[in-house]
Amino acid sequence: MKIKHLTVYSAIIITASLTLISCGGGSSSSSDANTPENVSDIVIGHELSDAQMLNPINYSDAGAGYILKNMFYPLLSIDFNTLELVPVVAEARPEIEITEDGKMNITFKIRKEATWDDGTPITPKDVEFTLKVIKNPKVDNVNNKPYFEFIEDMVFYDDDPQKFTFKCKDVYILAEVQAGDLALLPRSIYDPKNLMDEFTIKQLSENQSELATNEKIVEFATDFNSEKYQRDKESIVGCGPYELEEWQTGQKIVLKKKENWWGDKLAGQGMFFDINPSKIVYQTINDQTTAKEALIAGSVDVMRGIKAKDFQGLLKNDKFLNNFKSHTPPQMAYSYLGLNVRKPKFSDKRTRKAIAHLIDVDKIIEKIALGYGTRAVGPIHPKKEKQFNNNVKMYDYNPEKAKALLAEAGWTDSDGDGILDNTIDGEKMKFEMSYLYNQGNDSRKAVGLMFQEEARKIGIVVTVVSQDWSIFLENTKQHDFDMYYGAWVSSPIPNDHKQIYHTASYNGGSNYTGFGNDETDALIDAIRVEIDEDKRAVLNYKFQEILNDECSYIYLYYPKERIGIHKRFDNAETTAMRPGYRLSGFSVKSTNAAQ
Amino acid sequence: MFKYIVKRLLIFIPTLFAISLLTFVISINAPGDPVETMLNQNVGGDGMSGEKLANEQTYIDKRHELGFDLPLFYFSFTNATFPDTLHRIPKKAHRENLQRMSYEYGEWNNVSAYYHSLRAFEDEIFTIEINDKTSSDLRKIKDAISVLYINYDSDKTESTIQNIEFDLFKNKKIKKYGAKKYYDFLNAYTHMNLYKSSTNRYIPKLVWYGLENQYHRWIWAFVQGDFGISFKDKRPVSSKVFDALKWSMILSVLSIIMAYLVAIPLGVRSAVDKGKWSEKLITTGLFLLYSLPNFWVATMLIRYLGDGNGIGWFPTFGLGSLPATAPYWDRFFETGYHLVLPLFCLTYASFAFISRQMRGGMLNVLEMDYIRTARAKGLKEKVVIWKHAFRNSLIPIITLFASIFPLAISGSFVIEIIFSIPGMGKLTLEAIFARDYPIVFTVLMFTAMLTLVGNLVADVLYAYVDPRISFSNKK
Repeated sequence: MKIKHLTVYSAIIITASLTLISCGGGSSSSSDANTPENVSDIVIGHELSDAQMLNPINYSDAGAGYILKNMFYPLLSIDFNTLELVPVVAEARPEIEITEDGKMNITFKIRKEATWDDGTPITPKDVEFTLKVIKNPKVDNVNNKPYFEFIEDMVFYDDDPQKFTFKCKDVYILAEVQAGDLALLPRSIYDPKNLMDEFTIKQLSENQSELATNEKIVEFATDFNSEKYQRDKESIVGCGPYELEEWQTGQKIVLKKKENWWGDKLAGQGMFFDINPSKIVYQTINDQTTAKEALIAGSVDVMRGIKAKDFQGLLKNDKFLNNFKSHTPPQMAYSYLGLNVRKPKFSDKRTRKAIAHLIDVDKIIEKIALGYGTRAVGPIHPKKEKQFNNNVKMYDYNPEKAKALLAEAGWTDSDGDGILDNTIDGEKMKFEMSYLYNQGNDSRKAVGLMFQEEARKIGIVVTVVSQDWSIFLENTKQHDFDMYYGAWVSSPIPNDHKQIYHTASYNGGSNYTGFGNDETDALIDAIRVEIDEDKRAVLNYKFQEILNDECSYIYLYYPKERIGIHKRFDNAETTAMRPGYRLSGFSVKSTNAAQ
Repeated sequence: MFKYIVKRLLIFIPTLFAISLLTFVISINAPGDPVETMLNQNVGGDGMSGEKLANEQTYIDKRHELGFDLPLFYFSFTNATFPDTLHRIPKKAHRENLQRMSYEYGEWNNVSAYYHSLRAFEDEIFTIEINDKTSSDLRKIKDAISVLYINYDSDKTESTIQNIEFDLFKNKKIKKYGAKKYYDFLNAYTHMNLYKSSTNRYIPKLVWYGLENQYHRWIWAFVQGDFGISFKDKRPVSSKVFDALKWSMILSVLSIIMAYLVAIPLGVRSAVDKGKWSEKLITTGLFLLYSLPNFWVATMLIRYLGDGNGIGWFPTFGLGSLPATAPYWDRFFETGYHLVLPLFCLTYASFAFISRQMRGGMLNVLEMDYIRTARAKGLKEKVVIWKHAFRNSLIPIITLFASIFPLAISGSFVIEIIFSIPGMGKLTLEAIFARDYPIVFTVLMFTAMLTLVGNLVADVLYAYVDPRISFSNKK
């Protein structure tokens, strides 16, 4: 009999869930804002994964970065359209002075209008506080800390309370960008106990290890790293136009436009003060196909990173075309094949060039990237017009030439087994190599198979190997590969090639291929400190030529982003800067608004 | 009965301990370096890397913070060449190489001295100013040093050291600054070679590390109810798991109930109607469903029933768009509506399974004498089946329940990803890929516990439905 009771109970639960199913139909139509017919100024953007945290100093995922940009304003930022650095909280671009002993002083002035939410003005002391947080040795921002090490001290001025100077260790092309990139934090929210007051920037720069055990430093950091400052909406407050309204973990993050935001007075003075939607929703949908359906249905207004094949399908879909506009802005990124220069096999430049001639890049772009890419020649994106060297000659697809180059380098089929062989440093070897890519990336696999086939024809044995991302990362970092497929993303700031191309980055850095010699190292070091754009262009031109000639990187293409944006946002523009659009600027069509 | 349950609960303790050890050992030995993964994230998706990458000191600091510089366990029991202080070496590649070298040369102290003198020499070389005269020789030396760190082949080591010596003494400036440390290094190297021993490999050695080890740190905190902090976003594991568990529990509990409610009557029916058309229809239908992969069904449902290209009967992702301030019942219905498709995808495959089990159990019982007796007494068919036969055929169904129980917390990764439901399956899989051990450990431990509890509950239920089964020692 008891069993029967159980059945009855479960029947009740099921009926309940069934009733909720039938009632659900009604409520979904009332869930406004989602339907395209309804002219809503709320913009819903799609994200593949939820942000990890909304702490503007400690975050490390790109998704969180895009969201935080609406809530925390920095001194300077990059304009999406011009890709130039423009003042935001600062009044103008800073004055830069290079001292006689080779140091750099960067002097900013803060806008008079700029205030926190409670109306108190933003002062240089707030900038100092933010920098102190970054330099606090216990604050968990290991990814960011090294980028602010160059600031040694700060100077304040009695005669002008809005003015301050960063004293920097050395001259560096990225100093202005990085100093301007501080996402300002209000002291009253982030340090209610005034724990950081007694420390100075100078102390924090010089005595990192001693301060690491200081009670106040530890107390502040423990609090700052806690969940409260990652997810609690009362505790995530900046001077940007939006505030956090709601965060449903794994589902969506809702930002609300602040009333009486200080920047409203500056409307019309650049994109950072051109703020339209009353709310921005970041909707997480983990699956690409589901997300695409949600886009067609109008449940999301904006989707980026649509798979090339899906995108082509959308361009033939009436429902999509009626409501959405498609965009394919170029991306500041490049994909490449890296060759391990320090392996005897590839130590000869001619061998590497031969490999480059075996790669049919145009076919890769056409067949595998489905046309969403433009051929790459080097690490500098053509959008950086001044620095981009137009004269670098690309390697054409030419197996005959490859054969000739290989023969020159000593690769012949001496034993007649169909595989090329050579004697290098007294060691006889067959030309067998591996091609490494990260598991699950089908287009990279396709490139590998294509190359395998080309190589086979002229007597090179290629094994295509896939590895889980973390193992792939480890192996490339330890130079345990012959060739791998990689991609770097960058931003519209001056290129500092040290991380990827300097020999000092061979151990511990990201110079996986082992590229570099004294000449290139000197060139990279010179580029790092040349703040004059024209002079830097000369150096960068030369660097691109050498890179092309050395051929340790075989550049494939600069990808094009694939974005769909709802038509009701008539002013929506896309850009080369990630994520490719700026939701806070989207405004609803004036005609619709009148209805 | 009570005694039996207590006894079973006591057996849980060593079982869980063994499981925790196993979990720990497997995770620690998984390839990939968690610190590396954490620091250098895959920013652009699709394997695109960002320009911000962490440096070496950052790596060391992070490793220390996460406790990876502690020994793994309370003790180690290996051969005498095994390096007992190896865990202090920050780089994984160096560690692996040193372990091989220690095995090769037989004396860890000597190998360790060699490694440290090499580091000291490298530091010295890095302080020498780079200019026109020194740069090319310095580079050669630096490259050679980096080869030494990851090479254990003695011939190659020998030739590399000769190259270093050649470059070092060729250049006066480098010689002036680097020679002293080089001789220290050379001494350590010669010493290591001189006292090379292969007998040590066969001598067993026990090293005691004490309580300051990675396993103890974790299990002790776990026992006290502190599940640690996620490596990935620094949130307490308990808070992350609670968020995810909520949705997985709702889905699985509803799914289990639904599966049983549909499958049991179907199973009984197909047993009673054995050989008839209705049985064949049920069986074929269920097996057809059973053989459809759920990710495909999910995608098809989204495509054709969803509101994108489909007819728009059901929402296709998430759990509803109402804010937390909306009335409770509105949110309840909204969420329920969103759960229809995922629930169906989670459930349909188990219909066939459970109903087959039910049918089997029922068929056995229906042949029993007491069923014939019941029929002979003239009882109604309905009473015969549901009152006499059904209860006795429940044993296989209960066994199944024990295995379904832990699923309630482990969730379904595929369905959760496709429908964007932030549940346990997604949390666990992402944690595994990110080498986020605190989450992986916690989830695995709880799954293990629930499996044990599930088995216990099943055993107790056996006794309940079938009085012939008893766990007390009655005489």
